[in-house]
Parts: sequence; C-alpha cells; structure tokens
Amino acid sequence: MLTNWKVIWLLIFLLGVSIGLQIQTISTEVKYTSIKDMYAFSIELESQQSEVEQLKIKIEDIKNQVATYQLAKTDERIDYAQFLADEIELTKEISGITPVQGPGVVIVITDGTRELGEDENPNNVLVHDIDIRALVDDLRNAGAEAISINNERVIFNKSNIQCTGPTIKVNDQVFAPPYIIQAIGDRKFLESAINSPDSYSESLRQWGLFVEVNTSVNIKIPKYEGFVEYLYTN
Amino acid sequence: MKRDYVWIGLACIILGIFMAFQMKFIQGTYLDGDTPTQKTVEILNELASVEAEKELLLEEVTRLETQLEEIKSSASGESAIVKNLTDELDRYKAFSGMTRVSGTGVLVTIDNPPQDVNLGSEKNIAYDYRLILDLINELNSAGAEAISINEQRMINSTEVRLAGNQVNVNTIPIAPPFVIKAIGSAKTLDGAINQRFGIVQNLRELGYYVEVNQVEIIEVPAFNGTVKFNYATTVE
Repeated sequence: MLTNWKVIWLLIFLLGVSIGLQIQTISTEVKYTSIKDMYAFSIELESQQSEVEQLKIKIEDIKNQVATYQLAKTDERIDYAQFLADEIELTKEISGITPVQGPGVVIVITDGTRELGEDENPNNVLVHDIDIRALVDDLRNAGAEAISINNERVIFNKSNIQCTGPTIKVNDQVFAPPYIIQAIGDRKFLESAINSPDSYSESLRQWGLFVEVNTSVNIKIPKYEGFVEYLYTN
Repeated sequence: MKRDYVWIGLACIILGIFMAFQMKFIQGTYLDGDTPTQKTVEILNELASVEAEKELLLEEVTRLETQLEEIKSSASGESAIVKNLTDELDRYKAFSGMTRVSGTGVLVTIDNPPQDVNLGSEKNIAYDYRLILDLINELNSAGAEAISINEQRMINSTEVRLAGNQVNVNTIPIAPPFVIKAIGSAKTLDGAINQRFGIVQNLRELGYYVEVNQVEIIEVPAFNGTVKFNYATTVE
C-alpha cells in the first residue's frame, strides 16, 4: 500500500514537471516557421540593411549638394550660372552622353572556328545577343564606368542589344562579328571579370567561341548618339 | 539472468534508434517542417527596426531634396539664364536616373512557382537572372524611359547579378517576387514582351509566374546612391 502511494506521488510530480515545461514552451516568444521562410526573412533583412547603407551615402551627398548650392548662391565670388553649367556637364558625363576616355579593357569576341560535332547545332559556336548582354553585365558588375560595343556606347536606360539574324543591333546600328567591347574602369577588375573561371566568357570559351581581353591605358568611348528626350515620363 | 540484461540492452538501443527516427520524421512533416525558433523572432524584430530606420532616412532624403529644390528655385527666380540652366540640369538628372519619375507604363511581376517541400525541386528565378536581363533589354527596345526592379532604379552602372541564392541589383540583394516597373508607351511595352515566343512566354514555359499589367500612372524611384567616375574623364 505504502509503495503504491509512493508511485502515485512520483507520477503526480512528473505530471507537474511536464505541465510546467509545456507552459514554458507555449509562452516563450517562438514562431513556427519553415527554414525556407527564415531564409527569405534573412535575405529581406540583408536587402533592407544594404538599402539603409545606400541611403546614408545618399543623404551625405545631398547634404553636400545643399551646402555647395547654398555657398554658390550666396558667395559673390562664385558665378552661379557657371556652377550650374558645371553640374550639367557632370550629370551628362554619368548619363553617358559625353565622349569619355580612361584606362580599361578591350575585349574581342567572335564566332568559334572549331569543327562541329555530328548533328551539332551551329548556334553553339556563334555569338548571340544574349552572350553580349551577359558580358556587358559582367563588366558592369566589375565596376565598368563606360562601355561600348563596336564603338557604340551602351547605356542602360536606352541601349538595346538585339539579335537580328546574322547580325546584332546595338542602339539601332547593325554589327556583324567580330564584336569589340571596350570598357573603362579598373583594368584588373575588368580583366578578371572576363578571365575568371566562373565568368560567362569562360563558358563561351568552353563552347569554342573566341574571347580575348587586353588592357589598355587609354580607351576612348564615344557618347550615346540616340534620342535622349522623354515622351512618356512626366 | 545475465543474458536477459543483454537482450534488454539491445531492445533499448533499437527503441532509441526508433525514437530518433520518429523525431526526425516529425520534424520533417509536422506543420510542413516548421520549427519553433527564437531566431525567426530575432530576425523579424531586426527587420522591423531596419525598416523603421529606412523610413526615417527616406524622410530625411525628402526633406533635404525639398531644401535643395527651394535653393534652386529661389536662384532661378533671379535670372532667366539661371532658370534655363536649372531646367536643363533637371532634365539630365532625370535622364541619368537621379530623380523620381512617373508616367504611363507597365508593371511586370515575376515570381517563383509554388514549391513542393517534399519534392525539393527548387526553381528559383534568381538562377535564371539572365532572363531578367533579357526582359530589361526587351523593355529598352520597346522604348522604356525608366526601369526599376524592386525599387532599384536601373542606371548605367546597374548590374543584375546572381550572388549566392539571390540576385543583386545595384549591389542590393533582392528576392522574388521581382516587381519590374517600366515607363513608356504601355501598349508597346506590353506588346513587345508578350510577343509570341517572346520573353514572357519563355519565362512562363520555364514554370515561372509572370504577370504584366498596363498602368496609367506608375512611379519609378530615383537611384538611391551616388555615381562618381574614377577612371573615365570627358573628352573635349
């Protein structure tokens, strides 16, 4: 009889402990989430954090601008009109509507000359518009400041690189291979963007296309010649 | 007697293995593999605080921009030359993507297909980022005047780049769904990307969810950063 009571007390004690544990689990601030959602949240967080960083830089920049405008306007020694004209030149420069020069790389890309395998699609050894676009993207990622294809300036908001059968159209000018891509920026970065083992151009080389990159101390890139007016933007 | 203990020990080991399997199995399927974690709460809290900070910074930007605008307009009130120059500057600023613009255009939403947790077949648009480049190119061909991806304005230096499992645009990591805004002739833009065998069909055939809407007024944000050339200089 005595042992029975002991057992019952022991069970009651265990029950109490487990109830306590259960309550603790429920009341703590935990959420049920899948690993996938958690991953999505962490990317979102990373994204927001880098945006905050970017905004901080922008705020610094605007503050500087406000200060310089204020100074230019109030200071008698500075010609405000001249100051504005300089600003216009700078904005034009970053928009790609002035010819620029600087150190950079010259890339030559042309169709492969290897023999085709049996029943192999000839497209495998041809340069396509998508290849050029990917190369330009690789160069931008490496910090290219100005890019041209066969002496035609590529700017993001206006340029298109379009397949037109045997040729490729850049800014509505038609070009046939070889394509010569020039880019101004840090020569080492740009060169490695083309030569690194996981770069897009390396995969093109694997297919048998010819891609070569050379650095140059001075490259001239013309201005964008197209239409720069807006019709639909308010 | 001693043999009995050996058997009991063996049975205990087997039971232990079963229990481990069971727990593992439950973790995989119970609530679709959701696990209660403290980490999520931490991330969510941090996210909220970062978002609040971003809001504040955006307000600061707006405040400073109005201040700058006031200085400029008061200066242009003084002489016609200055006014003309200011207008010209604003035009080029808009062209270079440094100001917020609005107009008619299209809104393209691209998302991953719904994923089956058990199948584990991951289809992520981030891996097909070159199709995003294609889409942008098609929009440019169709005369888009300003384009943004998830509130990141496309400018001359904008890259669309696979980084790990996500895509970086203007070095900001972004995750699907991708919302691409383009200003231009809504009909032309819509028609160009919805062309038969065009980019939208291409994306849909690969299983991605794509929606294209023509919008009367769409706002494309300014580039949230600064551009400075370190290597290139203008040739006179």
